[in-house]
Amino acid sequence: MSISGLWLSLLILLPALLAPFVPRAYSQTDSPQRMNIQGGRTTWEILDPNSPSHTLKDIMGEANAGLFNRNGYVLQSGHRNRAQSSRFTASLSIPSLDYGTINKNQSITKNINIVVSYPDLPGYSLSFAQDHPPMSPSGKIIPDAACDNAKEPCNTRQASVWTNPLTPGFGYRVQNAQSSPDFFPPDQYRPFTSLALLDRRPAIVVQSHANGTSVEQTTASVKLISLDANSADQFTNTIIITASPAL
Amino acid sequence: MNYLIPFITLLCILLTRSPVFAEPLSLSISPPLVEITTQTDRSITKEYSIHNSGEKVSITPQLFEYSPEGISSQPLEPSDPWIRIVTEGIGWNEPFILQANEEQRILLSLRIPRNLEEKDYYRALVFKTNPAPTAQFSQSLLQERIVSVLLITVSSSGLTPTAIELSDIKIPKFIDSFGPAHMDMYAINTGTAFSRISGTITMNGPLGESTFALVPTLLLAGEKKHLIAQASPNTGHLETINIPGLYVGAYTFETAIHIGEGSINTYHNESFYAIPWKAVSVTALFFLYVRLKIKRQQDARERVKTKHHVQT
Repeated sequence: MSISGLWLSLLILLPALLAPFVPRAYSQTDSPQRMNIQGGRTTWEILDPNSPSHTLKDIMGEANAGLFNRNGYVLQSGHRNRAQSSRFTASLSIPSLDYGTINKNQSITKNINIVVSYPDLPGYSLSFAQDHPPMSPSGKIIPDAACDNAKEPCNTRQASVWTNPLTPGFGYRVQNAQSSPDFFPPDQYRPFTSLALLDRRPAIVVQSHANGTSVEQTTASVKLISLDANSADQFTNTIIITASPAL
Repeated sequence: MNYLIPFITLLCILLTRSPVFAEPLSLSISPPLVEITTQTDRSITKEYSIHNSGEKVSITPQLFEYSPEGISSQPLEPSDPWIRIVTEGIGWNEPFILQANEEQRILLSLRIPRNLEEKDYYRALVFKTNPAPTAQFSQSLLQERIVSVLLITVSSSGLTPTAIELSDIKIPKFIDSFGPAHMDMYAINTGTAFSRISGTITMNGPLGESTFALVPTLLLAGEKKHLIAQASPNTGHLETINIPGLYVGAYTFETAIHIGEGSINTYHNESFYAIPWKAVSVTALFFLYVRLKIKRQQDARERVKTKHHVQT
C-alpha cells in the first residue's frame, strides 16, 4: 500500500474511531414553580421556634430528600423526588373475565388490556395473583397451570410453553416489550401466584429509560383448561392485579 | 361551512384526549412516592388523593410493609399505631365508595413516637377495589390494587449514614475493534437509610473521552440494583452500558457514583483493550489462502518443468 493510500484509509477510519466519544452527557434540571435549583445539597434543620433566637439553619448534610414538620414549619429538602406531585394511574379494560360455559378439554383464553400512566417516575411494575384457583360450588378445582413439560413445569417465577389441550390448568401471560423475558416466546404461561405469598417476581418491570414514555399498555391473556368440567359447573375466583411505582 | 365548526370541535376533543382512556376500573393515586426524613417525637401530616376515572367502585385502603422484594403478603394488622388515616369516615381495612370521576382526599398522620428506633421504615399504601360477582356463570373477577410507597427515615440529626458499593462488575478484558464496548454492574446500598444515587460512566480512549449519565435511582437500605446508563444508545441490551463503535488500543471505564446531590461517593476504574482480532484473523486467513494458492501454482509449474525435463 502506498503512503497516500495509508493516509486515505486513516482519514476514512477516523470518524468511526471518534464516534464513541461524541458527547452524550445529559444534565438534569429540577424546576418547581417558585425555584430553579441545579445540583447543590441542602439539608435544613429546624431549631426550637419557642426560643428567642430561633432560626432555620442549613446544616449542609447528606440527608435524603425529606419533609420536616414542626409547629407550622414544613420544609422539603432535596429535589430528586419529582413524583412528589405526580399521579400514578392504572386502568383495566374490563371488570371481570366471563368464561361462559366451560366444557371438558376446552381451552378458553380471555384478554385484559391494562394501561399504566407513570409521569415523573422511573417506571412501574405489574404483578398478578389470585385468591384461589377457579373453584365450583361442588368443590371442583381447575388447578394452577403446570404447562406442557412435566419435567420442568412452569411456575410463578418462570413461564413455559403451554399448548397441549390435554394439560389442564389456569395461568396467564403478558404481551409487553418490557415484560419479564420468560414471556417473550409465544404460548409461554405462568400460573398465578397466591396472594398469601410474596410477589417476588413481577410480570412486568418497566424502566423509563427503555423507551422514554410515561404511558404503557399491556395485554394480559388468561387461559384455562379443565379436564373434568361439565356444563353445570360454575367456576369462580378473583384475579388481583397490582400496579406499583418503581423507585 | 355548517359542518366546519362541529368538525373542528370534534377534532379538538380527539386531539386533546387523555392518553389514559376511561375504563371500567381506573384508579390513580397522588403522590405515588413520599420520602420523609424526620426526628422522633414529631408529627407529620401528608395528604393523598385517590381518583376514580372508572365506574363506581368500592375501595379499601390497606397498609403493608415494603421491602426491595415488594409489598408484604399480609397487611399490617393492627396498622402501625403511628401511621393513621385521620380523614373522617375512612380507616385502614374499611371499604368506602368512590363514585365515577370522584376524588377522595385522604389525610395520613404520622406521629413518630419518642422511643421509636432510629432506622428506616418502608410502607406501602395500597388501595384495592372490591369486586362483586355479577354473573351466574364461570368468571374471574378482577381486583385492582394501586400502590403508593412511603419511605421514612427516622434520624435525630437528619444525617443518615449512607454508603454505596459497586458489585458484580462484568467487563471483558479484550474486545474486538468493531465493538461494542460494554460493561455490567450493580450497586448495593450498604448504609442504613435509603439513598438516591446518580452518577456517570466516562470512557477514556486514545482519541478522547465521552461521559454517559447513569439513570438516577433509589436504593433502599440493603438493596442491590442494576445500574443502567441513560444515554446508552443500545437500550435493548440488559447491560449497564453498551456503546457500539470502532475501537483500537487501551480504554478505561471510570464509574463515579453520587449519593443524593453530593460529591462523588464511590469511584471505580476498569480498563479493557480493543484488538482487531476478527479483521486480523480474516486477513491472515486470506494471506494464508493466497500463499497456499501461489505455492500450489509454483508446485504445479515445478512438476510440469520436471516432467518436461524428464521427457527431454
